[in-house]
Amino acid sequence: MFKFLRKIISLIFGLIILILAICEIKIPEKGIINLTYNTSYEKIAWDLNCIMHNPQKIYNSSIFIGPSWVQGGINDSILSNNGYQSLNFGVNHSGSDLDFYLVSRIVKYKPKIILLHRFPNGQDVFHPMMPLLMSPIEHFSIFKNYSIKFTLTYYPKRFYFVVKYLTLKIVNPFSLNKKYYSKFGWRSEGFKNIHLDKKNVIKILDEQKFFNIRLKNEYFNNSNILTWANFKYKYIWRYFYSNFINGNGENARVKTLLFCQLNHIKVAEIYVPHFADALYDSKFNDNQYYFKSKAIKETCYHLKNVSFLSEQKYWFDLDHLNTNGSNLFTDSILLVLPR
Amino acid sequence: MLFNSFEFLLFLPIVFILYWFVFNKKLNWQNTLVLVASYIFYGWWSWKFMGLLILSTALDYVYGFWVASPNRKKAKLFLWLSIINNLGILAIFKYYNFFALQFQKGFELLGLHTNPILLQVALPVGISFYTFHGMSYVFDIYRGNQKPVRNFIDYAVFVSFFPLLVAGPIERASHLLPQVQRKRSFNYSQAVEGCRLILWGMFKKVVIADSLASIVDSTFSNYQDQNGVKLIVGAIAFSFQIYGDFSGYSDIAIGTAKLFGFELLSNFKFPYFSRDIAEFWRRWHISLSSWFRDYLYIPLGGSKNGKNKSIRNTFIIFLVSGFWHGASWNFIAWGFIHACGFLPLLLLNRNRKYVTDIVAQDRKLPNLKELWQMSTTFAFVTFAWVFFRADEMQIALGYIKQIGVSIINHPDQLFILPRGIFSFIYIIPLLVSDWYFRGDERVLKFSNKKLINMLVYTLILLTILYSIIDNDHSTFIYFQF
Repeated sequence: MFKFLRKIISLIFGLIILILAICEIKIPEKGIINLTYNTSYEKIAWDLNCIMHNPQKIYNSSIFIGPSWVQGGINDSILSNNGYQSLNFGVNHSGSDLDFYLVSRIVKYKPKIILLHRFPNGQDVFHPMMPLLMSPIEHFSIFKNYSIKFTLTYYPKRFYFVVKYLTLKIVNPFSLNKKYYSKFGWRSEGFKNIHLDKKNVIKILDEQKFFNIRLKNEYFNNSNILTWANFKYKYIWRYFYSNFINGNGENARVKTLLFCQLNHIKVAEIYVPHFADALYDSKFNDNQYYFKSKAIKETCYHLKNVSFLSEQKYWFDLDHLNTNGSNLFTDSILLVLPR
Repeated sequence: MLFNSFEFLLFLPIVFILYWFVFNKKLNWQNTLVLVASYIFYGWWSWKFMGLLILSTALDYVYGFWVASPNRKKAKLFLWLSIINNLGILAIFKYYNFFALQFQKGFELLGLHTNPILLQVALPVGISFYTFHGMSYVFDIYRGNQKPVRNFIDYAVFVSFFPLLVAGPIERASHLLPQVQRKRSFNYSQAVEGCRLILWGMFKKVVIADSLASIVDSTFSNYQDQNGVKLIVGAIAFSFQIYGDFSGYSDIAIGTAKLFGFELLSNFKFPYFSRDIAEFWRRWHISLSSWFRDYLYIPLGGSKNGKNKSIRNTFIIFLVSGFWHGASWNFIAWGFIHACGFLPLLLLNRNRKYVTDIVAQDRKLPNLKELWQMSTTFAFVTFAWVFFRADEMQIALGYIKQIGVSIINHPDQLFILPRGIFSFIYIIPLLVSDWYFRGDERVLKFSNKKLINMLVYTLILLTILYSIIDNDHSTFIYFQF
């Protein structure tokens, strides 16, 4: 019995060491470009291709970095055509560590300004594609993340990406030479008819994304003990969940900002509106409706009034502008952006 | 609980440790632990149907005593009551809606409109398996091959033993119950063999079956828009998907049972190396086909009462087998096709030609004749699988028709390989290893050199891990039966 257990334990232990070692194999940028081809994260390939093959485009440009809101919300071709030289480096899904990864590769090409996305509820998280971009030790050493769930998912994903890359390298090494040359980084979705009336939209968003912020405001404006308790509970749970379970990207955000400052690159934030902003808080103000981290002091560029986007025809879904909405928003934000 | 789930990864070592280190003092403790673990395993999927499992177990336990009565008339009466009881449970949960809808269609043909009440209940997982366990127990007692078990826990372990509870192999009381009642001691080589089977079963399920699932699903869900080659590839992919899925499950079940000192019946013996359809049925889902043979075909007279009755019995056994898999006409058609394939062999007295020997016995490779025989048998089985996989009869017929129409109308498309064909690469190690081990399905020792074995097992483990991340966690196909 003990011989069996000893063998099983040694096998598991050996396997874990082997997997940890495999996870540390570096995937070169060519491999990353290839592995994100034809996936919803294809923008990573475009970004890396631009950095590797067209760095001159970055020089003196405004670089937009952030999640799908940025990727589909800011049309860099409109901005550039209006004399505001810019590149949209937005990639699907939130993740401040991905922002740092891109910024750390961009700064040496001297962009004019880097504009990072501002989350409406301040919830900075880690990006799900980071296991492709960085080895676990590399990620850990930069971002000092101690969360359980994140670490547990990081290793299997990294293992998967490394094996996929190595297989690709053996089976089809020529596919690693693919390059992506589309001119601009903006990727938006077409019109999708969302059958939701405004009341429902407000209700859904009120319960989801805007809950914490509104609750916070109500807490400050209203001394109701239940509201106070609910806010505290949410706040503590979020802190615990972000720091120890899911991963807190806020440090990564601060690190990104510091990195830009150290390299003497101007950095700011930009807020891309949601459907609820257009419907609900058409005249919101910065301090009231954002959850702003104390560590972040940078300016946030945003439109004071986005009620012109309140029609469903401008939206792909509740969070994302479609092509028309994005063009309209870009035309307006152009007036606000620093020259 | 799925074998390929994270929960099972925790569940198995916990039960294993408790079984051999904490509850090992007394047999009754060990059996109680196995029973509790089995109910947790089953309840993880749905605790609501636990009651049905316990009720079915309790009824057959009681019938066991009544059927053992020396009064044969009384015993026969209780045997029939037990059959009605077990088939009644199956009829309500599995077949009621099918019959209600057929009656409705029948009445509509007569111009009568009816509105039958349909059951809106999910099919309890494993119902076809545990009711067959109970029936085999009662049948064996009636025939005098088994004595009624006094200890309810022992009997409940036989019915609900977690490795085989939801998808078999369908065990016989005379085979498993003595093992439940006997003191078990840990056997190193048996445990190692069990681990190898679990590993190989996981490979078949996670790497082969789940990788092919995407080709199969996309082909069958959208068959009207596919060309003939894609449809043929889809059908072949399903042949390997269901083999990987079900034989993988059986391997994991047999391997898991070995870890607890139990030996289960074999369920698969390399069916795609069969030289005719009769041999295929001696190698595919063996525990079910032998169950039907022993408890249905032979009681009906088998092949001993003239040609006509043999033909009748053959059709009965295949149609019932098809119907056992699902309450739908396409399953019945699947059984009918196999009966049609089996019949010529029966009539020519060639159905027992390949009983003992294996293909290419004492040779490394098959000869041309064997290769032809295996290919034609595989083609026939694959054709029948189309009916098994299709959601309904119309789809199966449309699928077959579309293959012909597409090949005739668009012969130019014959050379366009479908997307996802790369997944077929996983079939190669399956076929190679099956061929290599075709003498004994439980050996799975790749080399006498430890290092080579270790490398192969590590490679298999890494491939499984990769595939688990790559594919969605999918349930086993046979859970639906």
